[in-house]
Amino acid sequence: MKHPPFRPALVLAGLLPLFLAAGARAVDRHPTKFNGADGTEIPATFFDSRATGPAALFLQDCDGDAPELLNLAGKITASGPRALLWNYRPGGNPKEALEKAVEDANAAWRMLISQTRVGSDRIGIVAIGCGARIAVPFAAKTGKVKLMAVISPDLTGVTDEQLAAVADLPLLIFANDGEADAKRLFAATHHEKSQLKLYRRPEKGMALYQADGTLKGGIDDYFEFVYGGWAHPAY
Amino acid sequence: MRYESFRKALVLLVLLPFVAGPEARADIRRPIHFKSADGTDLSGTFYDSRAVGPGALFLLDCEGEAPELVNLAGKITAAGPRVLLWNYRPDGNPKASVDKATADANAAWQFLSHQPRVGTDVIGIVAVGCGARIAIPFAAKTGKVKLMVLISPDLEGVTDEQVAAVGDIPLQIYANGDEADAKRLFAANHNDKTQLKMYRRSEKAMNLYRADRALRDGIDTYFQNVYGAFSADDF
Repeated sequence: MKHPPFRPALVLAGLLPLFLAAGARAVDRHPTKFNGADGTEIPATFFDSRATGPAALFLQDCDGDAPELLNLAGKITASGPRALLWNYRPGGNPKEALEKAVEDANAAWRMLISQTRVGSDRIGIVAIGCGARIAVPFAAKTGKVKLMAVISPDLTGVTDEQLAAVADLPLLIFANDGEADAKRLFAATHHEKSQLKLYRRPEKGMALYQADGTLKGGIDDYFEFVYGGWAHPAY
Repeated sequence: MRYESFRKALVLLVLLPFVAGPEARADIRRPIHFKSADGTDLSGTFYDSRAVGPGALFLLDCEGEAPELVNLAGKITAAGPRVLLWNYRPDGNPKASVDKATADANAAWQFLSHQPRVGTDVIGIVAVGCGARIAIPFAAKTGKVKLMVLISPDLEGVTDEQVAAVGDIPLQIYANGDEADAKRLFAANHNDKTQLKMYRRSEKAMNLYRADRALRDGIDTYFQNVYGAFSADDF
């Protein structure tokens, strides 16, 4: 009978980390779909968040699904931005059918900006490998991309004019030292928040992502670093 | 009675972070003195840790004190390694007298490697700016440095042979895009954990450190990544 008053305290203390963790993340992940330009239904995963903030669109590599990106999308959303993770339709990645991939990316973009509390011109892109073939021209053409995190960018078909048009964007680039396109992209940017991280290892794209345990945290932090500088009323 | 138990619960919740914090960090920071080869008394701060792990030696820039590094040293120690943070004697930095600075760095190394639970050949170096002028020759000569973190390395006076001799050491290098010495060091290295992070901004050394808040966390994590590969038997 002497101890019961302490029991609620101990229970509360034990549960506190669980409450705090859930509150801090506040990520709602659910499957969704959108229609590509020709009406093809494309499946996706949308990461919603209770926080007010911008959004992130993923443009994946051409080598198929990368389930590790679910974790990254969740981490990005946990710090504010909603994220849309989708993949190209069969036969429709930027290497196989560039125009189709561009159209589908446009549709993904429209789907993302139509979500509640997502500003149409406050969206960042995470592009891996050949995803950069459409990410850079898209950012250059629309002027609506506010940051890009790029892993092993493949810039086949991307013109110098398109690169010059994204020179004012904050870019976070990861690549191995042999990747000339990463250096080309970095050389073209002059935003003071742009960063290039080079590795002395042979992996590229998702293999590089898997090889460096800190890369995921770097992208997550970068979104917070760049978006954190924007005025709240804009959203 | 019921009110009293809730009050206890609340007090426990408020105190929890303070009670848990020191235990998790378990670092003990204390001022120390050691003697250089010529008998000069040098001072520093030693960060001890209860964990089994290696050591980290700081070699500062020539511009004087950098109080922000106190925080970084604490973070590194929290992850395991004991740290010695010290500064050059007046008129004894690597620009003023590279011989004197080298002798003092050797004495600092001796001090650190004689601490309990610090292996003499499992020590990392954090060098800022001109600190690299002694870090690279020291690592090349002794072969006892197991990793180096370099912010805006200034390699004046460092030979190609010395740079080649550290080609197997994992390096984490931070610099702005114009710093040729950083690129020189990266180009000569072939450890697959080596990384070069370049910025599109004009700041160097401690100003670069201050400009990118992610830099501090990157160093801390890098120590963990590299040292994590050693077994406890090494210590």
